[in-house]
Amino acid sequence: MSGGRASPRLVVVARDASPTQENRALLAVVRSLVAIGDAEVTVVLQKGGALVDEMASITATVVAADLSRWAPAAVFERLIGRMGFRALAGRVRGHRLGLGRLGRGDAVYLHTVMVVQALRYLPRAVPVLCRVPESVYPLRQPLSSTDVRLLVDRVTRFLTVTSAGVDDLVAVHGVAPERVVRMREAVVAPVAGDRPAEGPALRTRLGFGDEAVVVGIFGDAAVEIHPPCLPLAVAIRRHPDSDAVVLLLVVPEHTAGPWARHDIEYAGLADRVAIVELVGSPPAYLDVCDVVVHAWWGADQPLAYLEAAAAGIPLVCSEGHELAELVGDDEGGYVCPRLDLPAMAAGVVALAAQPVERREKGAVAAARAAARYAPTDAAGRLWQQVLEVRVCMPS
Amino acid sequence: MMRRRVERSPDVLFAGHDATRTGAPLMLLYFLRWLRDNTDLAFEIVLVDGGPLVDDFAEVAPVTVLADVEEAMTSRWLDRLRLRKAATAVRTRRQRAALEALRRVPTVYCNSSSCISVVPLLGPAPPDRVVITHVHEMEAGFRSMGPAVVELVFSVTDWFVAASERVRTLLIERYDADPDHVVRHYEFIDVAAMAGEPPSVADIAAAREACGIPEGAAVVGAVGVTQWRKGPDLFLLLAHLMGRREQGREVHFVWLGADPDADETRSLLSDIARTGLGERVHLVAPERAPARWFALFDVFVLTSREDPFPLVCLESSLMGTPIVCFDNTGMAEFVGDGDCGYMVDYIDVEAMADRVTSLLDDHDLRREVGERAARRVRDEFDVSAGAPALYRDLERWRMPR
Repeated sequence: MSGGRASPRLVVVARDASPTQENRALLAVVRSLVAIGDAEVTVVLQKGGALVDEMASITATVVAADLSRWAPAAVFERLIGRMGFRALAGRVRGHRLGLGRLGRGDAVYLHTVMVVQALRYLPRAVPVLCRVPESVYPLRQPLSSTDVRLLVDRVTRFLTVTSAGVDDLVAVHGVAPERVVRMREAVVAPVAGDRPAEGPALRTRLGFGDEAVVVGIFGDAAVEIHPPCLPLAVAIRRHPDSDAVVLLLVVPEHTAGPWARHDIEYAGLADRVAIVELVGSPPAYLDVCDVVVHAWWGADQPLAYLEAAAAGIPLVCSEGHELAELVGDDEGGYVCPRLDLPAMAAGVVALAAQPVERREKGAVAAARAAARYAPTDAAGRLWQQVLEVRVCMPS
Repeated sequence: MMRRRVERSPDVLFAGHDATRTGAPLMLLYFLRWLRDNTDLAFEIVLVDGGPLVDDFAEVAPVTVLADVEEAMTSRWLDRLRLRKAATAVRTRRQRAALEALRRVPTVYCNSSSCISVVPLLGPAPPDRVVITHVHEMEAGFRSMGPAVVELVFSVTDWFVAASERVRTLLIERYDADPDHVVRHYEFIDVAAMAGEPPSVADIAAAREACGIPEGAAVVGAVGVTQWRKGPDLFLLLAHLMGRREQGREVHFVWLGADPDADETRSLLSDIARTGLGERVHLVAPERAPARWFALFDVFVLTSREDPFPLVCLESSLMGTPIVCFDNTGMAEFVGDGDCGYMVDYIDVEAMADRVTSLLDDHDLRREVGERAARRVRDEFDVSAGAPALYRDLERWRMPR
């Protein structure tokens, strides 16, 4: 009990409510948390988006960007901020966002490290859970070193999606191992109408012919990650039946390092591989993919691939990787010996040649994604973490 | 570091980027030693940065290391105030002053495109100055230098020395260099010096033991820093691919030159751990005397995404170790196809694995190819063969008729 309220508060802080699969999954998680009924759930968003109304219909929702700049509290906040009273300004802002009245017994869940600023507005007694999505180096750019320090100092428990995230937090940032927990993602199928149907036009813009079978590879092409996707492209090209196969490499903006374009040029892959650097989430490009291949060393639950499975796209991946559970015994795609390029190429080519098989395997992948990454289960796991950190906070 | 100037004005100023134990500085050192011992050319040396070979260079000729030019208080304060341009201007003035005595040297030989920055420090060019740039870079190297430096290279250079045919083609086709002013001179090594320091059986055994490689296991080796240009990720892929194949014997993979403090090395170690290759793939820190590792290798793979003509391949070949490389490196010009090694299509790691496997499985083939490679290095790529040819061109260029 805190602040005289009947039930404790759980504040979920997220970036925005844009109509992405990731945000739809968050919406479903919030709905499940509300249904659990043990806490008063509030959502705080940095920016709005198409899903705001739907979120607000589930629970109280505050959009920071919509707060009036000219409300007396906002003017006061800016004034004292400029006078150098930053901590006080932070408290004022926290109150405006509904975070200031949090106390012991309440908890905050940051849905991404990119909402780190929220930590400046929180009372210290409130425990904080922070989801750390996939990427080998989750606490690197674009966070500043100050932001990283704030996260490490202030977050009670990190909920990482990848084992690499655990390693990075513990080994690189010195976070105590007991403060880091691996958590399974929540994933939902794409909702028709969330984004314009661009598939054919997108294929044309990417230079893919109508007969091309597009194989998507999603991830971070930054130099550190050493992805073997272009050697895989060479292995696919060696395959006698691969003429129709083209690769679409979708990476975050500014991460297609020099290696990618160099390899494409010198390996003569320009007619086989297109690179797209993307701002925001990759789902739009799922519309053009017939198959997705996971050809990275790490990233245990790469969100784009889970979303691809949820969208009914068959997968080719390595054994021993979590994605293999979506494929099963070659039911949702193909599982190949760990990063065996010839085997992966063969799996890709086999799926490329059989549209019926692609649809059938895609349906299996979607069903498995729905079962394994169900938002209701994710909400339950998150709630368990909330209960644990609330108990752990010193009185 | 400033050295006493010689009495006679130098004929040539050799500029190098640094004095590290890497290809370009080593080749320059070999060339300069040959010049000192075989000609009456007077020369001095300017290095942009220092390194472990500075004293070796200083034994040959007076050396100025620009990085050692004392930092002025003014430039330090300007840096602190984030007035970078002003700080650089002050620094440049001091470096120019350090090179004052060399401003009238008629010939400047830049031993890599990246040290072309020395030329502007010499001030306005005398009318008879000749600038020679020995290009040890390929496309990615040029890209990393930035357009301003590339423009400077092509605006001030009179003659280009290309480290391989691929470099020559790049300069002509990509950068519109005049073909008549680009001459190819392959890199060379000092065979006598290397042959004079053969590794002992105990040294080789110690290297094997340091990695935990059992007796009888084959060793596939590579050498270089762990930057993406050298393709360490492709080396891991190769190890992974070959690990999946039935081999006649256990195969281990050694990468020599992995700086343990480098971020790239750390991420490679993560990759190795994640892929379960830890017992067969070994990253070894750079060594001053790497001969024992070359002797340990049964096959040398060059996984570089680009490499003009790496000296380590010549050094390994001298040990009779065959090379397998991609076809876009300068080394493809050395190996031929089955002559002194093998080349495969770019980043076709599967094909590389096939070639390496065929060499490991066939001792006679490995020996024949390795012996041809060693012979070729002794005959064509020793300093005694390469230096005179380069010197002849140098003389022709600096004293045109």
